[in-house]
Amino acid sequence: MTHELRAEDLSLGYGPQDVVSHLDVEIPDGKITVIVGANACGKSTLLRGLARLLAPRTGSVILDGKRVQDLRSVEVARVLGLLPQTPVAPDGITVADLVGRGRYPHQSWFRRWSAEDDAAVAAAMESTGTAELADRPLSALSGGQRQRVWVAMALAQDTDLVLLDEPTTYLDINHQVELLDLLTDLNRRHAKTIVLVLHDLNLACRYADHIIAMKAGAIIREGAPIDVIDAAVVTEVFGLPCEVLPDPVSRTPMIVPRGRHHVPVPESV
Amino acid sequence: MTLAHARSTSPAPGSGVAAPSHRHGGGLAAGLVVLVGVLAVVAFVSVTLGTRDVGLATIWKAFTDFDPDNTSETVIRELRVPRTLVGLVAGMSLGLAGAILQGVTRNPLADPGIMGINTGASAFIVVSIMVLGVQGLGTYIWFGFLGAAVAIFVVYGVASFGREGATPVKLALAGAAVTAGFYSVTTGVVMTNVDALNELRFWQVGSIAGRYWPVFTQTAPFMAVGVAVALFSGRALNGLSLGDDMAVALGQRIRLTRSIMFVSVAVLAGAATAACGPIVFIGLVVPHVARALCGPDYRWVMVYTALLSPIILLSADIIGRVSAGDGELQVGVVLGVLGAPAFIALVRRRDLAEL
Repeated sequence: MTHELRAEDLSLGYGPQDVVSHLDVEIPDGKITVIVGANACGKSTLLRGLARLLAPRTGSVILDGKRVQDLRSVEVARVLGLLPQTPVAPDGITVADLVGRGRYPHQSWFRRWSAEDDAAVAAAMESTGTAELADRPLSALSGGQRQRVWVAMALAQDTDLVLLDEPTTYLDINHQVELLDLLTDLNRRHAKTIVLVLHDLNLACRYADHIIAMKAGAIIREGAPIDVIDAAVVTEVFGLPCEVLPDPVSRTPMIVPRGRHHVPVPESV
Repeated sequence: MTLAHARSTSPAPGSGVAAPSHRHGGGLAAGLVVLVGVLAVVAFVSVTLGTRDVGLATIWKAFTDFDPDNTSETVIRELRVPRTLVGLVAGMSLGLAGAILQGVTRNPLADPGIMGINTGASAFIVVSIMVLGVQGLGTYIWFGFLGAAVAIFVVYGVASFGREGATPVKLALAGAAVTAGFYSVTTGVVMTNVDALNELRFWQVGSIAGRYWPVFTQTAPFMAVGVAVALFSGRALNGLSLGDDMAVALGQRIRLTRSIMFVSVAVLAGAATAACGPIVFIGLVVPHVARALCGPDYRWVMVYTALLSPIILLSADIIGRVSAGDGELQVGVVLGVLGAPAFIALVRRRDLAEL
């Protein structure tokens, strides 16, 4: 099923100043979209706005032709899921219990836990490789395992759109790649539209179908990484002088920072 | 394996949905049966045991063939039974109020006593009686609700200032400040009136002695409503326990949920306080005991709390009756003595912040 998620003239903020102001953005359906930018550029704020965690100050977020704030929250939750940056879980909760909590929007006072819920939870744990952890308490898991469990919970919610706020932040490089591979699997096998905020530009360029580069609450460039990421854009967005080479593995743009103590060495030396 | 695991589910009570439970639903349900049994025993002892020695035969006769001229039978019917019933509903109310507050604020130290809610309710009640001349429990119970609501509003409001919101420490500090404030008001008002001082003395310390039928009939309906709301709020509290962002992402209306929860706390704590005076520690400690027994699923925590709280309150009341020779220790005093070490143990736990 195809979905439309876009923002029109969207302004968001916490204090007196807007963090994101008058932004128009469209999330391509069925693709992996990665939002990048320096700290405090508004990328997480934009993601939170798209997930209706922040009320728009101007404009609106449109989901399938309707303004998100006009839809019932639980209806949105059946189409659009979100994994927050630092999710919290009650002490002592087990993996299976936590993943099962993802079924919340599919249940009600009148609709009890069903075979469909069972199947969704089992499938979510299967595809994230967390099935064997089912009875373990979340607190006993490593960071990488824990993040896979959270992804499993978002999957159990069974939404076509999944938004993730810096899901790789506390993971080592091995688990970052593992998680992004997992998200790519979900995108390809289940045709899920995935939007994530990432810090690592090289991984962002490798895994994104569509990249959105933000600075000071505005979108500087967006498009396929190979088309839009070059040294000038990185310098503008991050204020970082760098070289951009083709990634030897994926041929996507690879950013090599310069810094004050390192300048390019001629290859012939 | 996962499917097999997920299938080992059982319906949770007090909710429309069941979920896979890390402990077997059968075991949890068996635990409920045990608790119901223990509660029945404690309630029975509460009716049979007291400073006046009344035999079982007399108790039986008090119910089946009541003789109004028999003092022992009257004591049972007019004193011990209502006292036990008040202890039962007030215990449930205080425990559930604590469980709700802990769930809504995700704060293990949240409790109607610590947050100043009980003190707020009692201050408003005392002022309404002494200053406004309000008479009758049926009227001043509304001042109890109002005082509880004001305390919640002030404490949660003050504690929520700042970036990280209502942290355990800020909530406890704001609660301590509000408690001190309300307590001074109560003391000041009471001190100016010697006659009333005597009457309020026991109520102030928290007691279910001398709580006769009118106290029960006038407060129990409110507590019953509050208890019902609490028992059905497990699903909502489960949502909130994952954090506000996740709760919204899962489709929960968190402002509405919080409002309903706070109103029910005001009703529960306000009515319980109007009935017994400010009783502490039940709301704080019992939900933690419940969690230790049944795990973090609030649909179970609420039911376990609802049964454990009156067990503990009535037991403390019984201890107060038998431990002080000819007189009695008020249940509030007993719970204070027993509860303080439990509170300290709770604060010393390392994983306190994760609820």
